[in-house]
Amino acid sequence: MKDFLLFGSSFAASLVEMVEALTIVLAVGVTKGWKTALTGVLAAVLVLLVIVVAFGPLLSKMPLPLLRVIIGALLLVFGLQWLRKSILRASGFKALHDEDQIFADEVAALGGVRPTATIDKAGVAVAFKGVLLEGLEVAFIVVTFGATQHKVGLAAVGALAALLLVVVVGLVVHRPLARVPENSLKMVVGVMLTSFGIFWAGEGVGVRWPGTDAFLLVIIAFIAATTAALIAWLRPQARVAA
Amino acid sequence: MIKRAAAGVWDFLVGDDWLLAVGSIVVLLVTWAFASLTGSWVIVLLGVPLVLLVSVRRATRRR
Repeated sequence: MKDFLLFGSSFAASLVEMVEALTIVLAVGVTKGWKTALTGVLAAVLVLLVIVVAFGPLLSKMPLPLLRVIIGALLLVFGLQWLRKSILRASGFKALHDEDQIFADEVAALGGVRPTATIDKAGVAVAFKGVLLEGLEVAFIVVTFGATQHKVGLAAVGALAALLLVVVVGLVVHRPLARVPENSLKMVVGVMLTSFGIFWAGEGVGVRWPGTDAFLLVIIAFIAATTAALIAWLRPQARVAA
Repeated sequence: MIKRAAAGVWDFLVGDDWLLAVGSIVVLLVTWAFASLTGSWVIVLLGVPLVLLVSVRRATRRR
């Protein structure tokens, strides 16, 4: 069960971030040419690899209780950020993420559609920054999620599956994946990260969960119910404010 | 450059509301202080949603 949750959370989190990265890469590819876009992507992937290879082994050397407190706290803070954002979006206090709009904005910012055979420095920088920032979130989730269960491989498989799906669909449709329900996915991942964060950080600081590992399901249900209650409470207020 | 990198790390870890990060750490510290008591898990389980509630409320009041 825990393996399934680990794989699913890693897959969903990676899917959301990779859809966002794809939008930026497509915008650069269309406006400045695919050589420019792919140069930026390649540079970002190399930097990400260096970061993961440098910091990944450090985690495996830490004592488990300390690892759980640090990673649990990080997941908690990270998960709560995602949950807060998706609650504000779902209740109407914040605009929903619109990949088509982001694509149009990026194309306009890059100076319109003018692909060239040479490599454009500004285009490389935009693709590099987009992939690096979104990729860092994926790397963070995969490494931390996997490390606490000593299953980084399984978490990485989830992320790779998401990468494959986004690349294949991106190649086929050749435009931003606006239909991916990003907010719902972000909410699910926020619930998972927060729940795992509570569970591991709690264990790390010395809490004894009733029913041990099975209590994780209770935490997930509780955080999901809290999220739904907050959205239901805020929706009417957003309508009044609009 | 160091300033920009620090700002990037802060944004990556803390995000839009510092209260979420600080509140979560405070909840964990309080839980740790009472960890030897039976039922101390209630502190972290209720404390985290409370921090989220306060943060969301702050965001909606700003608008």
